[in-house]
Amino acid sequence: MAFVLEGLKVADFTWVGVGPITMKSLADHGATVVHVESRNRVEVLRNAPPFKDREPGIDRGSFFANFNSSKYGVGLDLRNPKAIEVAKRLIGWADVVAESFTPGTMSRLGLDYESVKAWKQEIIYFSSCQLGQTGPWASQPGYGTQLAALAGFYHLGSWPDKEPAGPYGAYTDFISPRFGVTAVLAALEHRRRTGDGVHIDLSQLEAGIQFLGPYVMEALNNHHEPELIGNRDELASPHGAFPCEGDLDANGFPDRWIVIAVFNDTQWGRLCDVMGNPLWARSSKFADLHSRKVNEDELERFLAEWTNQHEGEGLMQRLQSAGVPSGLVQNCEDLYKDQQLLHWGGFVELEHAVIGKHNYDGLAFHLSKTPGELRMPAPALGQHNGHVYKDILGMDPEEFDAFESEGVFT
Amino acid sequence: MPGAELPLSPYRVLDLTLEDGHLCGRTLADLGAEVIKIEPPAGDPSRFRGPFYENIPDPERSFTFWFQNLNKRGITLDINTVKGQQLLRRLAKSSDVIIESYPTGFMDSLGLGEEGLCLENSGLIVASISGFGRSGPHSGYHSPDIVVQAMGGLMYVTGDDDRPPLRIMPPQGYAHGAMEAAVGVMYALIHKGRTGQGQQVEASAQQAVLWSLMNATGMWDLNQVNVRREGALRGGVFGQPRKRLNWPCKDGFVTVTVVGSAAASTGNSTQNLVSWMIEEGFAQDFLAYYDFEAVDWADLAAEEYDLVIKPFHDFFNSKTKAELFEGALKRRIILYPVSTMTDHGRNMQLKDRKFFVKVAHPELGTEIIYPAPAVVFGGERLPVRRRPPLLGEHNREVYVQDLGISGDDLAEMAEESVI
Repeated sequence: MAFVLEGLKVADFTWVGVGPITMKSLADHGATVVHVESRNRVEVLRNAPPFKDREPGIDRGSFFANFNSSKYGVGLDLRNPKAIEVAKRLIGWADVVAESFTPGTMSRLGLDYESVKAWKQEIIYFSSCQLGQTGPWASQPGYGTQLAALAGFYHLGSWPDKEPAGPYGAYTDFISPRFGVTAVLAALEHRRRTGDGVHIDLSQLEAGIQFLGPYVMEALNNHHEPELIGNRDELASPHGAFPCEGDLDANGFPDRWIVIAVFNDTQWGRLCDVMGNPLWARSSKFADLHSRKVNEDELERFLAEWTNQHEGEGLMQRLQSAGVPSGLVQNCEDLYKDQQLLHWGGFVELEHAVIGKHNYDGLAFHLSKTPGELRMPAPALGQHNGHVYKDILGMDPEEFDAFESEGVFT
Repeated sequence: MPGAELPLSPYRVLDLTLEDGHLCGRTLADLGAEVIKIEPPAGDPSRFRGPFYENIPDPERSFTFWFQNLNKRGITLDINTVKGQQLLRRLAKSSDVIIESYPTGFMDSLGLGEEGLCLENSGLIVASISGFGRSGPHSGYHSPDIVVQAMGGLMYVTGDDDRPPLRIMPPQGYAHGAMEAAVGVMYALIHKGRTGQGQQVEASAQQAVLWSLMNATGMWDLNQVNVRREGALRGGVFGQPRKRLNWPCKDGFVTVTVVGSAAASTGNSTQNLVSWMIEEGFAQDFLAYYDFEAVDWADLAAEEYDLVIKPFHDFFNSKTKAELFEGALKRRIILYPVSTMTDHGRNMQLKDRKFFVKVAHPELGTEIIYPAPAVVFGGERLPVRRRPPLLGEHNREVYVQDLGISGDDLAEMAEESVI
C-alpha cells in the first residue's frame, strides 16, 4: 500500500522533542526524512536514559529512538564551514526544511528561511522553539521541562495544599508536534494549489496554552484564577482516584488506584448496585448529585474503604460492564499488558542497529486507506551517511571521502 | 499568510463531536476550513461546563464551549430523528470531512457510519474520536477525561507520591485525542487532494495520552523501571535521591534544574546562576569554587546536596518570579516561572507576539479575550475569523441558503425539534 507522503523529501535539522516528533510523523507516513546531527554537539536525548542494559552510550538509548523512527540519519558538523555547503545541497534536494534551534542559530549559519527562500522560493520551512521566532524572550534557551512550568501545567497539575508538581517530563513537547504536523501538511496543501512555499513559526508555549484554553480565558476575562480542585469535577460526584488492593509494584510501592466518575444519578444507582447497596450509600446525603457534592469528603471515604477491598482491573471491568465510568490508573508496566493497547497497536517492536529489538510508542490514529507505519528503527548517529550523501544527493565517492576525512560528517 | 485564502479554505467540515473532540474541528477551522459545528437542539454538553463568563452559568457563556468552537459556524440537528438523518446525509454530500465522537457503534446504528455516508460521496473523510478505539476489549467503555488520563498512564506520573495520582484540568485526555484526529484528517486531506478519495480516520485518546509520557514507556521497556510521580522534585527514577525542580520564591515558584553536568545539557546555566548569586552576596565561598560540571548529581549524597542547595533556596526566596525570570533572560539561565493562568496576562512575550486577541460578542455587548491559534503561518498568525456560534445561529444560512430548504420547511423542522 502506498504511503500518503510517498516522494516527499525532508531535511530535518531538529533536535530534542517537538521538532523530531513532528518530522517523525511525516517519516512514518512515507516521507524520506534525513535527520541531521553531529558528534561534536550530540543530540541531547542521545545522552539521556533509558539505555540498553543501563549502560550509557549515544546509540544505546530509546529516548532518542522513540522520536526518530522511519528516518535516515546523517552526521554533519554545522560548525565546519564546509558542512554548510553540504547542508545547502540537502536543502536543495528537500521539499521541507525543519529546525528547532534557539532562534538566530540558522541565520548565523546562513540557513534561515529568508536565505533559503532567496534561492528556493517554494521551500516549506518549519521552525519550532520554546517561545517563538520573534519577541523579547525569543532567545531564551530551555526544554519542555521548563516550558511546561511557563505554560501552567506544573501549577495546574498540583494539589491546592502542595507545592507545584505537574506531569512527569517535558509535557509540552508532546502537545506542540500536533500543531506542527497539521501546519506542515496545511503548507503542503497550500503549495499544491498555489506553488508557494511558506515559513511556519511554532512556539511551544503558544501550542501548550491551546490545551488550557478555558482556564486561561477565565483568568483573563473574569480576572479570577481557576481553582485547583484535585481530582474532583464540577459536574460529577464521586469523581476521583481510589485505592485498590494489589501487589507492590516493581519499586516496592503499594500503589494501585482506580478512577471512578459518576456524572448522574443513574450511574450512581449502578455503582450502588455493584457495591451491593451498602447502608451508607442509601443515605439521603448521597441521593442526588447536589447532595453528593455537598457531602463529597464523606462519600470519598466510604467509597475508598470499598474499593480498597478489591483488585483494580477486575473492579474496573465490573464497573464498566454495569455502565459506571471507571479505569485503572495504569503505570508503564500495565500499559505493556493492556489488552486494548495490544489490540490497537500501542507499541511497535523494531530492531535497532545497536539496541536490538525494543519497543516504540505506536501511532495514535489509524487511516483506513493510507495507514502510517513505523517503517524503520531510528538511526544510529551517522548510520546512513553513505546512502544519503552518495545515493540520494549524488556525491561522488572521492568527494564523500574527502568530506569524511575532514570531519564534515562528524 | 498572503491574501484572504487560507490553506484549508476549499474544504467543508461537519463537526458532530462532543467535548472530547472539539479541538479537532477547531484546528481545521484555524487553518481555514469551513467548519460547521452540529449540535443537538438542546445544545452541546460543553455549553453547560464552566468556567462561565462573569461566573454566570449560561449555555452562551461557557469558556469551554467558546474556546473549542472559535472560527466555526453552528447549526442544530437531532440526528436521532429520521428527518435529521436525512439532513445530515444531504450535508455530507457536499462536505469533505465529518468528525464524530459518539459512543462506538452509535453512528452505524443510525445508518450514519462511514459506509452509509460515503456511498454518495466517495471523497468523504470520516474521522472518529474515542477513548480507546472503535474495536477491541475496551472499545465499549465509558471514557470521560479522567478515565482516559488514568488508562493512558498520565495520572500515575502526575502529582505527589504521598497522594493519589492526579488528573490535570482542563481535560487533557480529550485534547490529546482530538489533536491526533486532526493530524489524521490532515493526512487524509493530502491523500484526497491527490486522488479525490476519502477514507476513515480513527483516533484513540488513550494512545494519544500515552504519547505524553516522554521516556517513561521506554524506561519500563528497556530497564523495567516504573516512573512514578515525584511532586516538586525529579530524578528518582532509578532510586537515587530526588533533586528539586520547582523552587519556592518570594511570590510563588520557579523551575530550574540546578545541575551542571554535560548530560543535563544546560550549557553554563548553573554557573551563570551562581555568578548572579555571588554578585548579590548569596553564595557562600564554597559555592564559588564548586565544580558543577564535574559532579555527577545522580550520585550526590543527600547531605552534600542539602548543603549545596541551601544558598539557592535563600536566593530564590529573596526574589519574585518576575525578578528571577528577568535575571534569567539577561544571564542565559534556564530558569522559568511556574505560571498561573493569571500570569499569562502579564507575559510580555505573548503580548509582543499578539497571542491574545479580543473578539467581539455583540450580544453580550463586550469583547472577550481569546488565546489565538498557535501557528504563525507565512509571517502572520492564523486569524480569528468569527466568534463561536450561538446555539443554532447558522441554521438559516446553512439549511436555507446552502441546502436550499424552504423557509416554511425550516420552521416546520424547528417545530418538530429536528433542528
